Amino acid sequence: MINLNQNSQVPIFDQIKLGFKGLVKKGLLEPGDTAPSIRKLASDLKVNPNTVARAYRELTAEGFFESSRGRENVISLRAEAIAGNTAKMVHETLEAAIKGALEGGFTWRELEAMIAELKRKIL
Amino acid sequence: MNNILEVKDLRKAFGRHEVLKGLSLSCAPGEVVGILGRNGTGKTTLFNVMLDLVAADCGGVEIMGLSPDGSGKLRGLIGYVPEKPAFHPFMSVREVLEFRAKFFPLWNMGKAEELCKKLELDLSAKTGRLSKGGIAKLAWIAAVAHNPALLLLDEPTSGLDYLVRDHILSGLISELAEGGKSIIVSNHRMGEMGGILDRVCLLKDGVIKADYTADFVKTEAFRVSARLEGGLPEAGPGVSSLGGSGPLAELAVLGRANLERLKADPRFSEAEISPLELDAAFKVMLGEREAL
Amino acid sequence: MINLIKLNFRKSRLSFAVLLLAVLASVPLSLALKANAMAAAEAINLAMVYWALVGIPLSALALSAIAGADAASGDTRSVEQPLPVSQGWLLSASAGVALLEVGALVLAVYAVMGFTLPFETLNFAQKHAYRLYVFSAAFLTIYGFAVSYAFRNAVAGAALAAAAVLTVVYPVLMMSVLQSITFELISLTGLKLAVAGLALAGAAGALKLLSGVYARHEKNAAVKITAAALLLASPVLASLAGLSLVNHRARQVTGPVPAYRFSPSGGMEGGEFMLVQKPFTGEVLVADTDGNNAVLDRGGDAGRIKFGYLLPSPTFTRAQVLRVSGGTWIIFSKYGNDHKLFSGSLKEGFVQRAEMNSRWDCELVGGEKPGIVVSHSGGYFYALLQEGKKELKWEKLPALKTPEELRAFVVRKEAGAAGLARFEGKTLVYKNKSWPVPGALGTKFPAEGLKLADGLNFIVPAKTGTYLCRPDGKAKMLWPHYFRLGQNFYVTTEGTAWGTTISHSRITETGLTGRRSYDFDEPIFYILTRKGTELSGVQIRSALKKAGATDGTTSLLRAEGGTLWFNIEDRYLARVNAANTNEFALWKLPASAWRGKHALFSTNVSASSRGIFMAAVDGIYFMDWKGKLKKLV
Repeated sequence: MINLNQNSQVPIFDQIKLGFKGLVKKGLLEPGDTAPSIRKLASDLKVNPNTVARAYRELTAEGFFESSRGRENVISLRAEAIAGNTAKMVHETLEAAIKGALEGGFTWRELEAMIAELKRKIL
Repeated sequence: MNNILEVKDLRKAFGRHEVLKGLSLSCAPGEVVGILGRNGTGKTTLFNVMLDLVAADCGGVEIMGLSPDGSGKLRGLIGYVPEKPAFHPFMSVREVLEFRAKFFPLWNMGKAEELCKKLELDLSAKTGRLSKGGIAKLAWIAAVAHNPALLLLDEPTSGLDYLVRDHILSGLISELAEGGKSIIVSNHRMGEMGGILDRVCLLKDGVIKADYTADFVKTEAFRVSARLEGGLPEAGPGVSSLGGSGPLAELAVLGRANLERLKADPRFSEAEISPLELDAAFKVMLGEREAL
Repeated sequence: MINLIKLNFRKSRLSFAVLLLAVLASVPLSLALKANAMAAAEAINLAMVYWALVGIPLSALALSAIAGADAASGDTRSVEQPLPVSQGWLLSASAGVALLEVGALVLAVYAVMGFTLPFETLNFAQKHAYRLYVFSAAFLTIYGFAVSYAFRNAVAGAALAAAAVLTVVYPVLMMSVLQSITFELISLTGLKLAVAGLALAGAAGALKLLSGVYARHEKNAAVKITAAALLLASPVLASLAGLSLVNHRARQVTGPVPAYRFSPSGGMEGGEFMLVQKPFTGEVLVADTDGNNAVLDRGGDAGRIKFGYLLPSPTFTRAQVLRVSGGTWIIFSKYGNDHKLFSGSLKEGFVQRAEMNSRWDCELVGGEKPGIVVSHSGGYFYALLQEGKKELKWEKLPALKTPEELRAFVVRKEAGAAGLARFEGKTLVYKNKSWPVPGALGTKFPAEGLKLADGLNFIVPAKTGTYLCRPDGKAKMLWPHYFRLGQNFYVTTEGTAWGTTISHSRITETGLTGRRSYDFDEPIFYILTRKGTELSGVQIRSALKKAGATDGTTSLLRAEGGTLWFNIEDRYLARVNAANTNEFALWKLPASAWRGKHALFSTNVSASSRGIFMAAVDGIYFMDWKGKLKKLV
């Protein structure tokens, strides 16, 4: 369901949050579905339940999860929007930056070299 | 809040052979601490002293307010999975659980039976006939059935097949999910526990040489590949060689500051930097070189 | 704890079941194998006795050694040590189960015997062994466990435990047997308690130390193991210490030297010293009231009991003492050894003068010229005792053929030919006097004289009573009882003659603990003082009661100025007012050896003019007539 990269710089709880958002974006999870219990998800991902609990807390705070009809951690109606939002945000930012660079005279090759260098730098 | 376990300056020698040379360790309630160490460096001795199975030569141990005094009371509060669990071969699994139930006042037989079912352990099998995996399952169930606040696990998954290992890890997470449990675990394949650990303690030369948070190991361990003319540089702090052939060098760097320092070196301006996998990072900590 | 017991029983149940079945199976087996002539019950009892003597000890060793070695094994430790119980509980449960199983086997054997012991089939030593049986079985089990644990090996542990138990129990058994046939030298109860306590504490302490080293790898292992070994050895040391104490105390035991049977008087009484023997060392010595003493024989050749060679065994000496004007002659022989003749005095020392073959009977003869008469080769021989001369010159006495003739010869020699009174019919004749004594008894033998203030008197028993024949020619009846000088009528050191009759009664008293009744043999005294005063029917009941004397063996020691001194059963010196016997003083005498039912000597007390000598359990004492006690040797 959600793939975790133990070695990533991104904290686990963040990866879990992003994982859920990705699932909703791909349509594998829909509003109204209940997320797996903290225990089950922790067990499946082989992570500390506290980490899962923190992710769920923040997802609830963001409005991605809601409690409805006595069940907890239900995908809310706004989830899609939130999931789409983040990706959309990143897309728009990148687009603007690249457009600006190209207009500024940089070639695609130079841009790719820059990205490679950044990959080294930002880790 | 008081630490659930506090070990201060522990020393233990067997004859002339000094195993623990002033070891200190602590664990807070709810923490999951991994003990990383090579075979024969004193991991089991440390556990034995904490469990009041072996008498320390000097040093203090305090667990949940009690100290080891030979009475065995301490062991009633701890869930212990030994490296080589042993049971009376003539007893069946059920008999073992019923026997142990009489020694632990907080024993929950229902939980034990449920776990047996979940782990597919046959209650009527004689322990003398169980496989290694079956013994490991029984040892695990016996350790958690009385809901201890502290679990001490000595190589709980070593030598077990994938499926049994999975069961045990899930069980561990289940126990954590119930809340309030502290776990001290030693594991040869510490990497598989990467997601659960809060801290990793490196046991070397009879002491805890280093105490890393899990975050550190995950986010501040780097693999640096570079083309170097004229041999390897001097190893700085946190930098060790991972091998390499000819002009291609592989280095491991622990600690972001150490990485920045390395990057400042002009020889590493074109170096390829990537995160170091957990198992490799642990190997580096232990002082091993990665084979090519 | 109960769960650990159940666990250990589960582990050992097969061994135990096999042994129990073996006990039960020996019943039909013994019936099948017995000789036709033997009764069924006897055959079963015999089988059970074999079980008790051999089978149970071996079973105890097997069960306990296996349990001990198992408790020390790594396998058992890896299963049981992680349980939340201490090593103490684990080991106690394991050892405890072994004890219970051995106890069950003992009970089974006892039950098959019908809950009684077949005393007929046990010999004397085995009867003593039975008293130590339960202790020995428990000791064997506990030690089998502890030593097997120490060596982590059942066979080594069993063998060593058996050796330890033997070295403890055998000396205790020997001491028990010895003290039952002699007297108590050390408190056997105390020794048994000490040994039992040390065995239990020793095993427990050793196990605690060893489990700390083996199971918990405590530091200072070498020190702890040595301490454990010492603890396990402690009952052995206690038993051996008891043995040394018995030997030490035995060496101090003294006893009087009884007279040769050949010469009934012995001549011991009256002197200013006492001849004393130390039976366990073979020493013979004389001691006087000032504490001077001379050793006539150093001893050191005392024998040893077979198989009890660690224990002392007594040899007894007999002697005769003859006091003459120049000094004293003493002849004595230790059982089976040659007679040794000594002469001298305490001031100048004693010198050995001759040695006679042990098979001869010897007697010293007093009188003007002291001599010695011996009997051997069917005849009597006589030699003069002379100071300064080396060899004794023997002359045969063909006229003597019977002991009565010898008696007459001796009395004649001692009193002079004129000192013997003889009977003509029922009339006593002495020198130029004669006394008719109606119904006189024992007229065939010469009568011995009694020196009183008015001269030589004669005591003659007759049918109606005892007569006193006075030097003034008158014969009067003293008392309506039979008294004969030298037989039941005695003379004290200062010359008072006395005898007793015994009155038997049964006394019933009501005391704090209820009513109790006992036999009371009361001696009633008939006394003839030197001055010639008669005291008839003197009863000293108050003094006897206070002393707790019931067996009638009280003797008169001295009569002086209206005061009588008595020796009550060798336990008290009593001074009684002759006029009012309720006025008395009692002084306790030191304990003497060989009293009670194993009495070897008639009395350990020897009277002299200033007081009495006492051959006591731990040396020679002297008490004067005022009750002051001092130790001489």
